[in-house]
Amino acid sequence: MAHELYQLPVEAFHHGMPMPASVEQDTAALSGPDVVLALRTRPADWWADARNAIRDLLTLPSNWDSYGASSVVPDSVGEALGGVEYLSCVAGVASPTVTATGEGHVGLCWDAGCWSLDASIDPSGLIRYVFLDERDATKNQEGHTRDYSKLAELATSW
Amino acid sequence: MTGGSPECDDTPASATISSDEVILKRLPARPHTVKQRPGIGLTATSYALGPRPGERFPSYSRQRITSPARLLELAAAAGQNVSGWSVAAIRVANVRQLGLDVVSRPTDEDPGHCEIVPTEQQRFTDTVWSRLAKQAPVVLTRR
Repeated sequence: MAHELYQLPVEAFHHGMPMPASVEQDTAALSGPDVVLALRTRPADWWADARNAIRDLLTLPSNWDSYGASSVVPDSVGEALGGVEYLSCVAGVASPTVTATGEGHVGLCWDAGCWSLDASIDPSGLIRYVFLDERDATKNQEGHTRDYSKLAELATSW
Repeated sequence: MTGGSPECDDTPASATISSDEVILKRLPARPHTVKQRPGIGLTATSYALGPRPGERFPSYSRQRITSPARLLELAAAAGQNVSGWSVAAIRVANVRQLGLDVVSRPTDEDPGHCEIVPTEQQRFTDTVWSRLAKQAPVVLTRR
């Protein structure tokens, strides 16, 4: 587990911070003993572009990749919008590359060089993720969660 | 679709593919199917590489038979607007290093068509696509 304590210009830590309603259920995880996530009082600047990119996925036709990819499921977009807004409020989380999976789910990709994180969000809100750490293979992990603080922890592995 | 084999296709692989070969994948302009990676450069995203809903195994093309430009022409001929599309290249040796394999399955429209298949040692997992994506540089982008 990460032990990150940010010295970035953040306005507050998670206690007492308003959370997006869609991720309110995840706030408990933020108070775990092993992880400290610093939250901003407003989303990072990249949030607007990410939001637009996620919404834009709904305009993709089926077979958008010529290999038979499905059009993107609206419920996946809805789930991703709430989750990514939350991530944009966590200090240290960089802008993800927004893409789509062949199944029509929203995909998010980060690559910092020393680590990478791929995550897809299904229509029920389940997140499937792969984290690869070039510095320490014992940190590599593939799993699923509904907890965006787990993604935040991984996406702040600086 | 322009290349994928249907899920019920049990056609045997027709030829062994050398580990020296390179296989290609089309990458549409939108959404983002390419990713700039520090120290690596522009590569495919992991989600561009795995099997599609109508595919049993994901489709690729052998570069020695189907050039990157030809691969995009095939999509254009099938009605896709390939402006801004890219092509990523993957060494077969890298696929096999991950425990997967590549088999040739030519189609009428693409004689270079091939597929990445699981093996007894390695099934398809999200991790293998994430690893493979880092070894899938973009070799062509159509303006």
